[in-house]
Amino acid sequence: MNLMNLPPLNLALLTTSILCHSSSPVHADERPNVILIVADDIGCDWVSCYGAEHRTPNVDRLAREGVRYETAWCTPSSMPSQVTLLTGQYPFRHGWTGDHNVAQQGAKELSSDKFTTLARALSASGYVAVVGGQWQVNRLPEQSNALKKHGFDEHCVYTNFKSQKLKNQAQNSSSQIMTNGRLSSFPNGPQTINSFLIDFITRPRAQPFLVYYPMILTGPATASPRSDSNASGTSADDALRFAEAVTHMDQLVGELIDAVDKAGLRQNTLILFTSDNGSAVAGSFDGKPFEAGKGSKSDSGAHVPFIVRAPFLTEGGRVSRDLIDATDLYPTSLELAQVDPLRDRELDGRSFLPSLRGSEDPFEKRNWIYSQLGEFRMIRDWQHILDSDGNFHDLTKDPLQQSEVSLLDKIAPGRRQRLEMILKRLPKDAPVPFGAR
Amino acid sequence: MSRLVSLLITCAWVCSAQGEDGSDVLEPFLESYCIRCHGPESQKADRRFDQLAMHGTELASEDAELLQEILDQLNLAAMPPDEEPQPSDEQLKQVVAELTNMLAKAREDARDQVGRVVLRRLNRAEYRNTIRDLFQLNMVDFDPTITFPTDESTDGFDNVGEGLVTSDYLLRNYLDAAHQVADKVILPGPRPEKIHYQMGGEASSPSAPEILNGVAVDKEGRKEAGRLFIKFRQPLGLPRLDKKRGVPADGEYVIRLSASAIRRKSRYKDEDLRYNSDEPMRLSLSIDSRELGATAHRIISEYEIPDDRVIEIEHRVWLEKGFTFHAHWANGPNGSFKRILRKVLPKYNKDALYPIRNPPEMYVGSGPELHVHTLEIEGPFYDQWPPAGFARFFPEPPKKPDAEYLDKSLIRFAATAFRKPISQDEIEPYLRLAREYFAEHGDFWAAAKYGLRAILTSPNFIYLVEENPSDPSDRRITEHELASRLSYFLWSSMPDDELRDLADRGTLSDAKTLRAQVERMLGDPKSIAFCENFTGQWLGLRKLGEMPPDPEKNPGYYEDQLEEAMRRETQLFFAHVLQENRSIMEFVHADYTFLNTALAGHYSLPAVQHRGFKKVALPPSSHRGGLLGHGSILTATSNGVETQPVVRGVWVLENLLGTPPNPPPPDVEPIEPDTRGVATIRELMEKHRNNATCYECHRKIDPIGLSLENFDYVGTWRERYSKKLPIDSSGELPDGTTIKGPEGIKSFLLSRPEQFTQCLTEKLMIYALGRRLSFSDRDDIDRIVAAMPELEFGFRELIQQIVASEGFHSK
Amino acid sequence: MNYDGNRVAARDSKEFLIKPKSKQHVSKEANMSRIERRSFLRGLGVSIALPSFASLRAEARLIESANAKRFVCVSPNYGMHPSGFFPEKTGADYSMPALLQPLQSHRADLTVFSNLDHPGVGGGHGCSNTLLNGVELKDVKEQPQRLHSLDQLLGEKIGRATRFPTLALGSSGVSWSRAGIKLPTEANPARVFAKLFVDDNTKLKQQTRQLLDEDASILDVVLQDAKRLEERLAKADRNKLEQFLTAIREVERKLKRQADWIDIAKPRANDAVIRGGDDDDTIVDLAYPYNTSVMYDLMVLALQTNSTNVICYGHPGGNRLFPFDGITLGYHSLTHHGKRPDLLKELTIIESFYTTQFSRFLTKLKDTPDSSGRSLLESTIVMFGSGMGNASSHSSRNLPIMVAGGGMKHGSHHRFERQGRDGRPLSDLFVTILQQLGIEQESFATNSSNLNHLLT
Repeated sequence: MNLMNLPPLNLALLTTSILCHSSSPVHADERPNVILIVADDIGCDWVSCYGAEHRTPNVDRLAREGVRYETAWCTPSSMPSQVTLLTGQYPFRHGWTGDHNVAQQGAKELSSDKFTTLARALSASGYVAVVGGQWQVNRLPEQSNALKKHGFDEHCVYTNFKSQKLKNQAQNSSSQIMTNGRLSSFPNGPQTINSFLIDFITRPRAQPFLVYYPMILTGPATASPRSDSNASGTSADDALRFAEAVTHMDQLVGELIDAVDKAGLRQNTLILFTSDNGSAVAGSFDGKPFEAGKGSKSDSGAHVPFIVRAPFLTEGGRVSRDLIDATDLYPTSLELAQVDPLRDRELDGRSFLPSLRGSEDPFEKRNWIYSQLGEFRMIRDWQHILDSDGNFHDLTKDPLQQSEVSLLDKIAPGRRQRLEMILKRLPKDAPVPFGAR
Repeated sequence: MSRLVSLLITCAWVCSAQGEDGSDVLEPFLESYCIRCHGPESQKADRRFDQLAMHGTELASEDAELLQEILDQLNLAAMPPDEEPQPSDEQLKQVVAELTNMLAKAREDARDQVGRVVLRRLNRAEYRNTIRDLFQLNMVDFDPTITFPTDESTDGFDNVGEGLVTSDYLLRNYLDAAHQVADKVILPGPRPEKIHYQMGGEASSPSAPEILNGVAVDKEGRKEAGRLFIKFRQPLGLPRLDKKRGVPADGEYVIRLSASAIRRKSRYKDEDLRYNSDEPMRLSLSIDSRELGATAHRIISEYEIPDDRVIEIEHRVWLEKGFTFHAHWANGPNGSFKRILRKVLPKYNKDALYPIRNPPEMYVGSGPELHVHTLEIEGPFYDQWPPAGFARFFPEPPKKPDAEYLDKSLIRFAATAFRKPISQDEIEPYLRLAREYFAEHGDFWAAAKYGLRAILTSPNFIYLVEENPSDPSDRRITEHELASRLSYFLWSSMPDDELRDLADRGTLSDAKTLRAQVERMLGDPKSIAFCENFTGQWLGLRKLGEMPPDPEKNPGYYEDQLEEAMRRETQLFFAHVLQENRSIMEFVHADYTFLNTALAGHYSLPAVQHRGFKKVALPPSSHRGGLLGHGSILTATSNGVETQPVVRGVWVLENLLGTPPNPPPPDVEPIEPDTRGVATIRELMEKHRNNATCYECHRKIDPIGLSLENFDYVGTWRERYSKKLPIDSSGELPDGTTIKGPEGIKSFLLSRPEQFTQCLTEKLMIYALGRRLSFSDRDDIDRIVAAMPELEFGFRELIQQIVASEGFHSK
Repeated sequence: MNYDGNRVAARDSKEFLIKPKSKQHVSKEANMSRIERRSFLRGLGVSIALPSFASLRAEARLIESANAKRFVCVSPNYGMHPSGFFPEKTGADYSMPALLQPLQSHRADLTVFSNLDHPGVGGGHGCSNTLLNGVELKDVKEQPQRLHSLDQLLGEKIGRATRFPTLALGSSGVSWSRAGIKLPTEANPARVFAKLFVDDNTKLKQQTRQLLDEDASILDVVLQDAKRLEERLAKADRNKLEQFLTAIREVERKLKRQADWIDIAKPRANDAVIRGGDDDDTIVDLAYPYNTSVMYDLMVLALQTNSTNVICYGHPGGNRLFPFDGITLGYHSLTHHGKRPDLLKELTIIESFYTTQFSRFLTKLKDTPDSSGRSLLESTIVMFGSGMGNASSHSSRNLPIMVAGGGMKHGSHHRFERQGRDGRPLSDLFVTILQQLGIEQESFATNSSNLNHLLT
């Protein structure tokens, strides 16, 4: 309905239709659609199917119909995570080891000459790709064609993205959104973007599509005036506002899923829900308050929800303890799209399709996952975590990494040795693609 | 030689008829042929004949025993030794006649002093079986006699009255046993509630363990995993059952499970997993009791599990209260899961580190796994309630049972338990005991138990009582005593209803009936007891396993459970000869035996195409025919490290020839075993034999023992001790017969069937009568031995003969 | 004697400085005073009520004749580190290695053995449990009776004159019933105290009495029956039945005596031994391992009050972290020291704690007179040993064995020859112990002969 007041629509239609003809094979392409929802700043401690108190019915629904991974890692910070997801490389390789917001800090942008994003890899193979949400790795709108170069046929993203502050603006009034190259400001940006994506998804087309949806966490438009800019509210206020925002996020996700299902795309569409880092505001697990993981050099920083619904692979309803690493998304998508990885691009992940299919063979899966923030690096397996500062903890007994592993623990020393061996393989820094930062 | 023997025996009969006093024949004979070695100067083999008081009618029994020996030696032509002056056939005839005569007379005189059955109590096995049959109990795992002291054995058997003592310790055990039994059999209550525990499948989630496949999974995960995984050698059970300390009541339970074999062949090499991926996976069920600990652990069945296909298994088993069960991966990877994670995984996965415990998640799902999808137990089930053993003595109890019903029931019980009709005044004290208890406490069933306990402690139950007849001259036993003798002989248990009825009607002792009953009883499965107990003691099978071979050197012996297999072979062989009424000489030599694959391998015979045991025809070349080829006996007569020719020699003399040598003089040092292989056992023994005291017996023992040297200490055939040391299995017996190898000693035995027959008859007599034999039993024995040839030495016939014998019917 | 006790205690506490880790809010001083205090208490508060009915005296006489009357076995589950335990030299003037040092004062009453073990018993943790029966469960599946352990046998023989034929304390393992069942133990000092010195409630007494009464009256009836039967038997059979009649009388007597026990008040003892004194400065710590000395104190009381003649006390294995200074790893981890000096040092702290406690026990036995006025140590055979030899290899060879007291010949270290895998059968020692206790028995378990020539 609110699509009606979207001028750029027809143009969008046009562009895509052209694209279709240009790049799609004559017969309908059976390859599955891929929708990557990357929520903003939400750890497992805010998602109820992970045992969080806060209700997220729509995400839970996704979990019921799909596979919920208990142990998935991004990085503790948004931008390294985004780049890692897009490039399938670890921060030490792609160089974005910390948060530098190109839009603001004027750092080097994510150059399409040096990086092949997931979108580009897929669209090159006939996928139609779209991005909706935040994009902070190129200067927008100056480099207005950056997104095309990265393989996105369409986009609907914030331009002058100014972190928390702007979120609040986006919340109450309007925000600058670039839709397929056209700048305009909309009330309630998140809703706009969501609707745009829904429209994109539901448009009939012969090719499979990729939706990359790095959300922005904001409260609903109807948010109380209390939650406005530089409102230095009490932590209680924060928690409350954050809770509202999560609920809003969940609704948006809900609408998106419904759209997919209504459009009859359910069967052949993979929907992934994850987040870019730990919670910005501490949530809680079955009554016990957790910690705000975002930016912290610990499991809680990198540990994110990871839920995959892929009816064409598994009937779902499963919880898996298999280990998932942010770099795995790239190779997984490639495998889904039946695309061979490019020779000249190093990939650090490994496809988790076997795990999705329910394979039991550990040799087809990861036995460690890795994360990095600046020069700080950490690695974990199903139970233990080790970081470059030499901290070592048993996460099953001590999820908040507060106590030393017991001297009597017979197993721990061995596990530690193994993690050390692997961590050694992962340098804190690698020759970055675009020279010294 | 055998000509001479038979001649002597027949002639013995002739002469014993006429009764002229010929001590003037005997004395000079002894004087000239015996006294030199068995007189004042020397008493070889502790025998001295110069003091025999042979005059006068009364012959002291010990003198009589001596004379009997002399007669036997002469009949066997074993004495005088060849190197000594020999009497003429004529002289022999006379003397043998004389001796036979005197002894016959002496036996008449001695009849009512010696050769009586001494009041004998049930031994442990008999007590146990009696309880079993009295209450029709399943006694596989219920054994009230477990704490009973081991019974003394006398003359080689543990059912000989003389040797069976009743200590206060034992009596204390009788009291406790009675208590246990009473509690077990008096079940007035309603049929016990059924239990039905299960895990796996949908129902599993709540009860399934946290650890599956070594991975902790939550509910959904478990549904997906949908399996329990027997982790190598770790048993898998129902936590609920284990927590509840086992099943709630005795009864028959159904164990159901579904399982499948996953990745029998995997990327791992067998030698790494220590596992054989070529054979199908096998799952075994065991029953266990936490209370009784490992002693109660028992494998009840084993199944092959098909690959990647779920198989449903159902097993019905009797479980005692408090017992539980577990599933095992019988042929799963050997050794610990830990080992795999430390030592094996690193060979296959670069991310695994040696030799540390890598995360199990890195292994599970890649190797062979025996999945159990569902595991459940249901029960107890009963084909009748109240159980037969209870209803038998307490038939449809009234709502409010009264003292009268109590009396009736206890009388019913005592009459059965005492194995004879009982008199009112005999039972009265027991009734009073129970009645008073009932009156005092008002609890009928407690009173019933109380009475039961008392009756089970009565000497009439514990002892096989044979009352003294009013007329002392009449030594025949009563019908009921006969019934008991029969059933404890052939069943090691109490008479069943049929025997009891015949006894009540007084027709059991009728020859035809008796014969028929013996046939019936030998046909009854209960006759297993005879096969096991008799072979266990006659052949010393019970000794098997007392000195087991070193597990290091003989892994196969344990992996293939050869010990049990060997025991089984001999029992099956014995049972076969018995059931088919084959000739007892087949014990000496047969052209067949019973083998399973493992044992066939042990004997280096072609494998048995059959699960379990099978009758196998032996090639003529084989050395296995007859008991002397049985691993059981050859192992039982060794010490687990090496053979003991002396022990084997003695074994043959004692159990096949019936001429046990005297025990060695106390001052003789036993042979020092020497395994360095420089000297053969033969050489060592020769040293030994040079000693005069030893020589006397060892010239009989050693040749026999050495003839079996080709069988090593676990009964496998060998041609030489070592490269340098060949085996010399030849020897010369005291009578000059030269023998070589087992065939030698076998043909020696075959050449004198009557001697083996006599030996076996004597053993059977001791076992059947439960008393030591005395010279006064010779009539019976000689008669039987004489009769056997016409009966083609049929074993069943021999049993019949014994049951028909004078001794079996007399006190 | 109290002062003696004091001094000894004081010495002990210096020999092994139990410095509780800071977690335990107990200072070293409090700790020492605890020990002094406890040893001081021992003198007090035992009022021995010796049962004095005839039947018991008859029983007792049997034992009087023997040189020793009681048997105590102390067994650490993981054995002792060999190099710390076995002396170099044999004979009387051997020098005591580290672990034996605490026992210096008892040299004269102590015999140490090398190369004793149970032939045929394999290695592995199971072997600890074979200490007193010399056989492994797996080897005697057919005849579980062969698992019957020395202490239980003794219970049947010399234990019947006391309220408790045998007392099994600490961690279970070495005591096996005649039925081949591993017997449970009591590890909680408070419950041990109650068992020994606190009378049962009337209800329990009632039940026990009723059971005994029932058995007794059953025997009355059976006796009548037997008498009646006797008349109907031939002479030979009568003699046989006589056995039965004797057995009946015998059991009746024993039932009677057991019943008598019910009415005899248990001996009273000051419960300060487990609760501490009225003054706050004495803290009795009932947590393992601190309760070790408490257990020993209770054992002395039990023997002194004739509550039992046979005691087994097991030191548990497991991987608990001993709260001593310098202990950083669990017990079990330490036994697998892999010859690392630092770990061996820690292990030694634990093991010498055991021997030190054992030494204190011997001292107490020496200082305590038994009913006949002899010192308890004189009349009690005390054995210290484990079914496990070298724990770091789970070896069942060359077991650490010491024997003290019991009026035997002591003061030396004896080393036996090894024949291949086996040393001298430990059961040889057991036969000597049996005979010393007045039980004429030539064989036990896997013995080859006995050790009388060394000990008597």
